[in-house]
Amino acid sequence: MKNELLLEVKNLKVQFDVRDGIIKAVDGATFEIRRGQTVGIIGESGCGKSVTAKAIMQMVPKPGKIVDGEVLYHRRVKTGRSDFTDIINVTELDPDGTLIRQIRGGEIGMIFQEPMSSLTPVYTAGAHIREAVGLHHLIPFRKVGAQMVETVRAHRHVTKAEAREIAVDMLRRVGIPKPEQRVDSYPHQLSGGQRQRVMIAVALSCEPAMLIADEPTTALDVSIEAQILDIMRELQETVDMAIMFITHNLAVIAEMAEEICVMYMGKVVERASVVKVFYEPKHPYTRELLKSIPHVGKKSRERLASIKGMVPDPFNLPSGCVFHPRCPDYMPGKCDRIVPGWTELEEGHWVSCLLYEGV
Amino acid sequence: MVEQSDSDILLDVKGLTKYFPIQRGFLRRTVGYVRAVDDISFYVRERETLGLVGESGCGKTTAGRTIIRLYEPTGGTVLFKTRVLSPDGEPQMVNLFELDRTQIMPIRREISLIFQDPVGSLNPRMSVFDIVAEPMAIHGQGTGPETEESVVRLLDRVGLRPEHMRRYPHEFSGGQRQRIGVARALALNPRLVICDEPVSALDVSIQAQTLNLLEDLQADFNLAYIFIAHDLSVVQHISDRVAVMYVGKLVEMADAEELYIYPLHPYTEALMSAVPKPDPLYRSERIVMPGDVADPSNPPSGCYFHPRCRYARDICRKETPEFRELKPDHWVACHLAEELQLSGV
Repeated sequence: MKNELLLEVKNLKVQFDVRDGIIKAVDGATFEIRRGQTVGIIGESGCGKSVTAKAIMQMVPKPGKIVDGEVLYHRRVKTGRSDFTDIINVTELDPDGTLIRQIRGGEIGMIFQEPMSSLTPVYTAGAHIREAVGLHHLIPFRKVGAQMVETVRAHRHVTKAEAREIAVDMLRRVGIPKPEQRVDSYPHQLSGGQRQRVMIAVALSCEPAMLIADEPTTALDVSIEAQILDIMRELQETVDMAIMFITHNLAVIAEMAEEICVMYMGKVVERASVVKVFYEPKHPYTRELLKSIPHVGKKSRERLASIKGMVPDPFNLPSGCVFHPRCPDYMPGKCDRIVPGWTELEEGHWVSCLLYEGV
Repeated sequence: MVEQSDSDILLDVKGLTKYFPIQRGFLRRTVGYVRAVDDISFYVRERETLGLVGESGCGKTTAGRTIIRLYEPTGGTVLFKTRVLSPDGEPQMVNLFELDRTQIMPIRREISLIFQDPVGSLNPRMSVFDIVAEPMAIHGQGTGPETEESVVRLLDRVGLRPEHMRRYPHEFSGGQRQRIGVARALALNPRLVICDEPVSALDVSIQAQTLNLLEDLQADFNLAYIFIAHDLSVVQHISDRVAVMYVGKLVEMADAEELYIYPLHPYTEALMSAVPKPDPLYRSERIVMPGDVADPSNPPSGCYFHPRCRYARDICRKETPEFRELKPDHWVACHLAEELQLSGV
């Protein structure tokens, strides 16, 4: 069942229409995720990683809009007699509709960077219900257990007592000590690592087919990060869940992912298995990115290779290939004029670069 | 602890201690102390980089700030080799903690700080010129055209253009803002720069640029750095020696390579094993440290690390280990350091 498709993102384009112009946050992203697989999305800040994730959930914040492309979710439907797979184009769903709300948080779980920081402590009852439906954040001043129970009840048809039992069990599975007591703690009574574990527990409590983890360990210390990554891997094995792992940390992605998409300025520039990306990177951006990180253990007096220049202004993107002003293999007259297409170098190794197009 | 004959020592910290009182109730009575920095000793040689690592809340930042008395110390001495006190620039060891506010002023020229957050540490209402020139104005160095010249020179040195001088911080990217912070830190020709997580807010490619810049500047200006960070691979890359902190105490200090390959403290070993390696074919055995970092207001008895240490014995629960030099220039605070065979990366 490992090769069964779960999610296909095809030529996805998301734009933000702001006062100073249009930002093409995601500009033709294409990739797919199979059941039980971990796909890593890497790139620097502002490259469109998080917006892609939000587009998949049909929750792009305003004034952002999905202007083109498809997100096909292969939904497994269980009826009385037979199971079949229903293909849903998420981009066509009403963002507030019943169906997307079942998928969001229920069938596709989410963990975000720092659950506490994106919250306002003064929330209204309405905001609070929306939060509980959206389930992206922990709500301060509300017991962890109560929040988990709500999630479970929103997506699974169980009684309150059963939901609480599930909550305690989930907390135990993510390694929270004394879950029977912790279920009654408030978020501020937990440490950062524990909060992130609770978030994972909330996301997993509905047994999602896929988990979107957006920089889940960036705010944490290495020791806690290691714990969280272990927990995610363990749980993935037991429940056969796909993970879309978004990060800028190349070391973390090397440990977690099977497939990697490298993004730059809203475009996927390279897509391959993790080993190919780290050992035979083809796109100049991927190569430069890998050279610019210090390796622990190997002490060398060498300087780090850094990518020259800066990420371009999103209102004023370079012509042709967006990476050409920073590219070491820049071919004048070609890269600044022609937008590169997709080349499949060998099975499963895709790159978007004119070096491989023979122009 | 350190022989005074070592003439290369620029900063010699002995028994540095900083407790923050916990006050409660109507009368603000002190009910306890957070032992943010608890009796730590280390030294920095001229032109070298000492990395200071540890998990969040272990007191790295407090240690850095207490050294230059941004926080008033609770105890200890900090000897700094200053050249500004005597007229002929003759170096002289001074205890920074014995000086009063006016006496320490001139010495502040020689020690500067680079902060983590490139947004929060620059005043949004000051232009880049004002930001970089402010330290010069405070210390009465250079006036009018002279200041402008030195600001241009500094900006050029950190890779910014002269016309950037009239702009404001919000017009710059994160990496550029960090460069402004670096230019400001160098304005007074310091000899020691305390870099508090200078690259952790930056993207990988920009992080590499900034680290290279710091290395270049160190060579050009003969700077010594105290490099505070939690990213172990970055610290190893830039540091000559590394000190590891845990709950306000130093647990180990050694040459960077030696510390990473032959750690002597179980905490260092566990920390190293937790660092993710950017290599998909490499799978290391992670040492899981159970539980959370100890509470600095109520630390465990004996060795603070014992509840999470997989080698802990009776002595670890009872006696506080001494920070001692086990091998030349390799310091460790562990009762069992001699017997344990620990693995590095």
